[in-house]
Amino acid sequence: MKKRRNPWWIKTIYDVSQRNIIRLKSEWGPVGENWWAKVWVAVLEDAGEKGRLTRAKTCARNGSGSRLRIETGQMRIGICCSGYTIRDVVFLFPKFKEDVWVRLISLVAADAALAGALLSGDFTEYFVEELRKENIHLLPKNFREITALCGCGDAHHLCIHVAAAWYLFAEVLDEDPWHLLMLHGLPKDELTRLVRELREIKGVDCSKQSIPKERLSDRTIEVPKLENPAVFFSMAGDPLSLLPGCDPDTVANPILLLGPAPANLGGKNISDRTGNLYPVIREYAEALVRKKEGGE
Amino acid sequence: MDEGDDQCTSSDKTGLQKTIPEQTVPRCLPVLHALTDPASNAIALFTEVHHSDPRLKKRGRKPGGQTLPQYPFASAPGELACCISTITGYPVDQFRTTRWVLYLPLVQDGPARSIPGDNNPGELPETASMSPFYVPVILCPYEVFMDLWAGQELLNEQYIIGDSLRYFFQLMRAATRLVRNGQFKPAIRRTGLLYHASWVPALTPGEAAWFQQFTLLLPPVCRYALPRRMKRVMVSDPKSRAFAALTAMMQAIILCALEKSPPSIRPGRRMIEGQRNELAFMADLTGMDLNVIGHLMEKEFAQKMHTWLTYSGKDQKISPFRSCIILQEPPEGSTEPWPLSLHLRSEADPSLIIPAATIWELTDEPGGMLPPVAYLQQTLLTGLGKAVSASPVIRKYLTGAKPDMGECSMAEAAIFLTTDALAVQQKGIDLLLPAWWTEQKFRPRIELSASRGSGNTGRGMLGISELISFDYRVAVGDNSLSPEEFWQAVHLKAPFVRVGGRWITCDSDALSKVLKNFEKRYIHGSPTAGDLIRISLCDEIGPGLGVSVEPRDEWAADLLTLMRSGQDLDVCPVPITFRGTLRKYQKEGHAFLLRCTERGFGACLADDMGLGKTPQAIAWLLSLKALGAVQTPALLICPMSVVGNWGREVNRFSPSLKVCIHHGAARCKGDEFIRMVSGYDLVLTTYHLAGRDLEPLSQVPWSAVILDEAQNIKNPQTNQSKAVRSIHADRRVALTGTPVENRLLELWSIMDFLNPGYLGTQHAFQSRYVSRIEQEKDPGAIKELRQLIRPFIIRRMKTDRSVITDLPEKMESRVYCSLTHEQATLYQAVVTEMAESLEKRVGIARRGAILAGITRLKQVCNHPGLIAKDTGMRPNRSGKVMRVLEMLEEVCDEGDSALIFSQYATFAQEIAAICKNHFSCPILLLTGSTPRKERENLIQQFQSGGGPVIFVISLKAGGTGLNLTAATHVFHIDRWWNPAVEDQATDRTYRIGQKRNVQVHLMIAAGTLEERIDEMNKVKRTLAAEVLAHDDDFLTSLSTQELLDIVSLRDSVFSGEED
Ligand SMILES: [Zn+2]
Repeated sequence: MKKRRNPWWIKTIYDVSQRNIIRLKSEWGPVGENWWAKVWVAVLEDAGEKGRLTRAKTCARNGSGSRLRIETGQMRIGICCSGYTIRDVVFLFPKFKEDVWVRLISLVAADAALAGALLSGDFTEYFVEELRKENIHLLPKNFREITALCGCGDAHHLCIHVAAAWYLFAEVLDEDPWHLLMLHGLPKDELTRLVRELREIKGVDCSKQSIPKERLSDRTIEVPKLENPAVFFSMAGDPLSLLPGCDPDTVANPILLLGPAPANLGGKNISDRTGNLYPVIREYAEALVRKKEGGE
Repeated sequence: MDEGDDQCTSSDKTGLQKTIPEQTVPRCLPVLHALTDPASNAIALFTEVHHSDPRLKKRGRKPGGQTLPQYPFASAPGELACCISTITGYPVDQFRTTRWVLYLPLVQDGPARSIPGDNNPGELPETASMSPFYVPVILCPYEVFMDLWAGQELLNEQYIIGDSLRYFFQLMRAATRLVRNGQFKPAIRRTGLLYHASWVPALTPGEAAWFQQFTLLLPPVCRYALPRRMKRVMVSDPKSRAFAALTAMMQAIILCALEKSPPSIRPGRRMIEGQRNELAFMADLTGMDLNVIGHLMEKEFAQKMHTWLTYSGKDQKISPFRSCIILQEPPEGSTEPWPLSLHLRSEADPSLIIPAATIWELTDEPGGMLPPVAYLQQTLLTGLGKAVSASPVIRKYLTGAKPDMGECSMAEAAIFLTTDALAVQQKGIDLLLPAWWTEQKFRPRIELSASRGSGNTGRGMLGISELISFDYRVAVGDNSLSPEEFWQAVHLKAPFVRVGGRWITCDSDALSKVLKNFEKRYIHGSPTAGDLIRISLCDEIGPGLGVSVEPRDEWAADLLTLMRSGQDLDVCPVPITFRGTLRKYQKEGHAFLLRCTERGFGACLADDMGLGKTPQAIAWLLSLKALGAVQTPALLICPMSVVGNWGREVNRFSPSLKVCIHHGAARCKGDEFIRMVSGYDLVLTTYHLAGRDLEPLSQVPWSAVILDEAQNIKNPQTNQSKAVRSIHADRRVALTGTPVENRLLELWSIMDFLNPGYLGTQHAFQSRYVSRIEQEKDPGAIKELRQLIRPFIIRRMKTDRSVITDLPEKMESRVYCSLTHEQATLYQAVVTEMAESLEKRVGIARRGAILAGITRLKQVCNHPGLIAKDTGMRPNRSGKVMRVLEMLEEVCDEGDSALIFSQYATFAQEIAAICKNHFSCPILLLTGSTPRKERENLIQQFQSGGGPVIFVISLKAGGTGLNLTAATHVFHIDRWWNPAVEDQATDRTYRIGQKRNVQVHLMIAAGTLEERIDEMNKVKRTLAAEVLAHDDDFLTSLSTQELLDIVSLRDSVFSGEED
């Protein structure tokens, strides 16, 4: 094809290196692997005209996409269906108002299964469905919910560029459906942080803890001004009713739980060496218990 | 006890009775108290007496003084030290005595006391202000305290044990139990700049809760003790105080244990130099010196270990936990509800299962055993998030802020078990389900009992088609139910039902379908011995329905024992009519054949080539005769090329058997045949003739049919195969050297000959096994088929350990090959021509004519094409070449390599060319004209080859230094007059130290001069080596008659005219 001259502000597909071109991974049949991507595509296919959609799909398969950007509230992508000029397609998502976010966050935090889905990164139908019940829609119900803008002169609201962009975005969602949070106004990390805070889960990846220096004043209280002299020398209950470890069979080995130690001694992991001490220690204590408590 | 005893009874007021049970304890004894402090490695003990020291009382009244007043009711600790020393054996002079600061409430004008004394009148105020006093104490190290606890009863004689001491005794008891349970772990402690390792408690959440409760019991007197006076008065909070005491107690027990039985760590020099940190860590934990006295852990190492011990390493592989969902069956006697609960489960220790309720409420406390709470909660949450998406039942019951359990209906439990469970597991979540659901032994299975059917006539050789009868019950776990009872229970269409007091799973639709089929076929149909064998060998009679079989009569018991005993064979005696000795595995083979055939089953002997199937079969025939089991002859069908071999082998091993060969144009036909065979024990014929003479052959009531080289019926559709299968006989035996198990159609064909119908129709077999095994490599199908055929096939390989020790290093066997019709004719022509020419010649000319004639005869034996080069070298023109090809095929099938020696270079070339057409493996050729370099290449190629290689060598070329140990088979395709030459060639293939056995096949054209040469060589081998310097030359010294005797064709009956 002969290269046409273009004004400098209109980019062409030749300005994009081959490496950065986005094309559909799906080579035939429907687009979208996961259920949410299928929902996304269905919204388009309900609205579009069949012939145009087919052409758009072919176009997306031929490598028409470039310069994808996902920002708060919007997604941009360059589409080139002519084989030359790139049209910028923008999807504007309806941003959730603050009170919606507050509801969403408290909803997720209040349901362990929702919080779990968010933390595990599993974009489950349960998650989307529970929000939908509260009238919070992560996936669009219909095409008009998303404002799709295209720079081409095509009078159709749903031009071929928009449709191709829609297909390409379906595969973006396939990879990471949590983009939808950002597109509705709040990045996933931020939501995760807020939910954690609400559920009082501290960060798991605690930074390197230094060894606390043992100070006597670590956990101290002041001596009270007054005390009850009548019970001053007495226990506040019967200690005999409180005794741990009555069932010697159902105990875990703390060393096992720790996993391997970061050090070996003479070719043997310290964890094994330490673990090997347990049997004699436990046996000794067992003898003490038996001696003291008789045939218990 | 310097106070007067008379004071004891003076006052007895209310308010303090909680402390001292007045009825049981004499009031006159002093009270023993205990104090602890996290900074002290000992427990401070002091005694409280009844009367104050008036001097002390006075000093105590001074307010704002520089020094604190002394507690007026404490006695001097000397006597206490003596008493403890008596109990514990700890030297009395080792006790440190000192004074601690103790805050006490002031009552009237003195400090509070536990015994009602002279200055503590009846009514005590609710509150009183606190004031510090010095109290004289003796310090009792924790390890001594351990002994004191053990001997505490002895204290009762001299002291009343105060609540504070009772508290710490109780804590000691708890510490002992915790150590017994292994609830401790190492920790790194830092004091100033020094790092130490020590033991700390590692409590489960339940124990942590106990400890929290226990802390609340700490008597107030223990809370306000300090080892010394401080400017800014702060005391440890009760929890850290108690925790420090617990830690110290556990540490004391652990160190005592390790002192008693120290671990065997013996640091070598390299360890001491290079691993001082690691040694110091272990030294701290064990209390041993480990040659690192004075060395403390360096900061960096201590930090590393601390990170590990607190689960705080960034990339530390915390031994992972998984979410776990438990479904339990409903309470005994009801059908609902089914509790469904959420847990965390340790992968390292699957018995550690922590309920979700615990995890949600968990906080990070010192001395906990579990990883940080954040990790646990996150793990639980993510697991739940996944589980909910996989299971509607979980979604229904385990949602909300802190879900932990729910109660399902039976229908929901059914959905959960049948559909959700798998999806949940696939999400990486552990499931603990009722054992009857997961464990095979609680699946219903059929208990069959079998006996010989009543419809059988007295004749005992029905074998596989013998009619039998079955009864059955349905077993679940240990219960056994009649079919009626079972159907009664499962009529509900539920995935699980209660049967005989326990829940069982059953897909009643599928189960009833399988059971109906089963009943139709085996209970109401006419089952046979084949069915019984099949059922007893497979563990299932339908998908998911297991079966076990018990005999109901002796006949069935015998059969089942036989099927289950596998190939552990009792050897039965070989009849004395057998000439020769059977090796151990051959005796087993002989027993195997008898065992099968005497019960009417066909048997296949599929030993590797060279292991002697022929003598085993002959011994079996003799046994039949010796047992008086046979009245009619047996029929042996084999390829034409081995008919001669059989004739010779039968004569060799059992001259008493009368053998007749049904072969050749002059063979008997029709009624004449039937009359003729009745005089023999064994009739030999070929596959070809079996097809052609089926009519007379099927008239004879054979006592046995034996197929040698049974792979000849591998294609079940050929007329030949059909004919062979249709011949009736009481016993059937197949011999083959090919690995039949891997050639399914061949296997079916042979098995269908042996035990008709046992493996089903060819079509059924094809669909059940062939595609599943050959295309899908389905291990289940392979196993099933192996089990089915195992009772009827025995196959030993040369490489079997039991066989290999039984074999000599070198096994030589003679292979007699029949001449083809063309060969025989040509051979006869050459002999005639030779006789004529010898008449006319003398001297050198005569010699020349003899040598030329001998050479021509040998060439005819090899291949007629060598002297009549008209029609090419088709292999089927030579019986010997055909036989060699058959044998090579078996060799290659086994993955072995072979050497073929010929004395004629031209023939070597031809054989190599024929082999190239027949086999895909490399064929190498070495003759006199091969250049030396090329020769070395060939040898290298042969020796290094991974798969089978065939190496054809012209013997004259093989003169020097060949090392051909890769071969396991050696074929001498033509014979030398000098056996030493053959031996020399053979010896190249096995050197001293070679592990495997070598089989030497001497190919002999039956009835020809080769056979005569062989007989002479056998004699020669027994003579001294120098006598052996013969060659063809030696024949020239014979008279014409002697010579013709040697070369003339005998046993022409072996020559074929079928082709
Ligand atoms: Zn457009």
